[in-house]
Amino acid sequence: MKFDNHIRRSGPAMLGAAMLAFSVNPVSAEDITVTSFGGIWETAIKDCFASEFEKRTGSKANVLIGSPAQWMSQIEANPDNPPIDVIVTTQSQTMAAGEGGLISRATAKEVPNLADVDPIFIKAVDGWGACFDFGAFILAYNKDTIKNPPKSIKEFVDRTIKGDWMATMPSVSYAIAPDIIWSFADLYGGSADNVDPAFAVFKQLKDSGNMISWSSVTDFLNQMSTGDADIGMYWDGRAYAFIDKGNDWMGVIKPTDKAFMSCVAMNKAKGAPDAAWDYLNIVFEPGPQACFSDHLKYGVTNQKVQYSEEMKNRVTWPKDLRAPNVSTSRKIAQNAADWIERWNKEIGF
Amino acid sequence: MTDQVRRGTSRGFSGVVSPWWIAVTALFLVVFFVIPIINNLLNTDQLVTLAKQRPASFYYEKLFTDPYYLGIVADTVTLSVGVTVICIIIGYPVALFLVRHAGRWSGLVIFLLIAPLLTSIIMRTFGWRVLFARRGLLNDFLLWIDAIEKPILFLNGPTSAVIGLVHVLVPFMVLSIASVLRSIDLQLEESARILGASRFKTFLKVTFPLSLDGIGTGFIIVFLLANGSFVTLLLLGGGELKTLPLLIYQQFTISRDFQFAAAMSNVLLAIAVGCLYLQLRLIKRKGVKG
Repeated sequence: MKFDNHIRRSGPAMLGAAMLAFSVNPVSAEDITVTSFGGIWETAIKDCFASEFEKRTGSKANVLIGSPAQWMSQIEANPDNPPIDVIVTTQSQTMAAGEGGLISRATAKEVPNLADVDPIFIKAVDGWGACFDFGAFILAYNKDTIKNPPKSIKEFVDRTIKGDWMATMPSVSYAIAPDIIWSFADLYGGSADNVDPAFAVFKQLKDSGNMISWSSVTDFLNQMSTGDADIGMYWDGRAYAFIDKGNDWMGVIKPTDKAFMSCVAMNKAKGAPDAAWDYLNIVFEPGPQACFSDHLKYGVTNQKVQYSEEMKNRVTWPKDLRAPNVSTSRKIAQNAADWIERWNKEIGF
Repeated sequence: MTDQVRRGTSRGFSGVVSPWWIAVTALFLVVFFVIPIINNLLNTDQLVTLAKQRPASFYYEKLFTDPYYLGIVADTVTLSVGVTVICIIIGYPVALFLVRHAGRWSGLVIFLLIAPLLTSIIMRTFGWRVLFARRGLLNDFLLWIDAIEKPILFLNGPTSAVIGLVHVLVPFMVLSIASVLRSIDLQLEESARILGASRFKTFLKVTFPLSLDGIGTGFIIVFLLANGSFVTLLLLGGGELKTLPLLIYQQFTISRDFQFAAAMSNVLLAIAVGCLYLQLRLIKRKGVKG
């Protein structure tokens, strides 16, 4: 009975103490938390950057899987002591995070390897660090069902509307949907201030009944594997990685009318320890970048990286790609909500 | 033992749980539920974004005046009610079979019901994608028997999304109804039969009214789960069927318009609470314990 009373009286205190104990972060002061997308991205980040950081510093780099919007919110929630030390972001998100005071501006002083990065990838994020890899939104198709694939995006659009195949495109729920809207506007004579041409094309594609949509990178591969789609717009690196896994029925076309380019930046959260600079320096180093490129089949941004002959042929270089400049990226970010609403209302998928 | 039970009963709820425990629970709810809800309602957080910042009233006005968003709210409620009704239609006979006819197989039936819940919802949903694919099992079969000339697009529409949701949620309905059916005294049904009622009339006048409590519980659980679901809609709906959870997801992950997302989630919460209240009222009016 005494024990029962004891439990009743001290139980809440014990519960509170237990909650406090479990809430204490077990990560040591030297360890850092870095970020990655899922799938082969995670493997590449761990194998090429995190393990190298651990080997050199003796500290651990914990890899957190998720999406940039989620990571930005986590840093915003506790900017002085962020739960994330190194954040991966798209171009417009990098500028938003920089101007919002979430990340520190990296220069060659803090990250010496930035000196070897192609300047266009520093300009791409308005000097908030730099992009460390870039990908092209190419056309991936099923070689068994399409014997005469299109050569350009415009041909892809025209023949989809005509009904030559079942096509798939990223849905509005995919992270870079606003960038894709801009790229179609740019291709069809519009701009970030006038996306009407893009919406006219999307409407035609939708009304043709020959278009479905994918909402995640794995979703696209499933649609192609199950035969739901014969052709679609997809990332070059992921397509090549999929082909290399034995799926040689998939083919890749680099569109002649310039595929959309997107690059990904990595930056140190403002309140993060200096060890995050060490990690970033590894990220921009030629060796680890080559390792990353080998895993994901994407182009990387350090100009000293030595690509294999196969990768040299596979990578679509920036001069052949359609990429927004800083001012356009800013407009894309500013208009994203309105474009998504318009897509929901007019297009729907 | 009887003394012990009586003593326990006389001490009542407050004898078992000290006020301190209640305080801890209340504190937990205040910190992790009430304050976030209030914060969400006030909707004042200014986030790091390059997008235009607007007052919270702008979003509520848009939600309640723009026909597109009113349509989304209507679609969300219609989908949830539709899925729940289909779950009742499918789940009731299964529950009845489980309780009255499965006998020694009841353990197996329960296992079969619960087994899908042990796998990830994403895996279950992808299973439907494989079955319904343009070159999937169903289309291949229909082509093989010459029922169709070219593959039918089963996926990426409201039908596939509803099928996926029903598949995920029907076990909750079956288990809710079965637990109540099991507690119905069989002698009541036997009395009705002895007094001349047919098997169907006995079911209609005795069994079904007594099982309303289970239907009500199942209705609430399934409705609330359907109301907040978005993974199945995202994977099987192909964007054709837009609901509030899907739009909230878009605001968080793409446009980072948290204020609009907060306004939509408040509306979704209000819908859920409102429907919950109506359902409870309806069930009580039918003479069932609330």
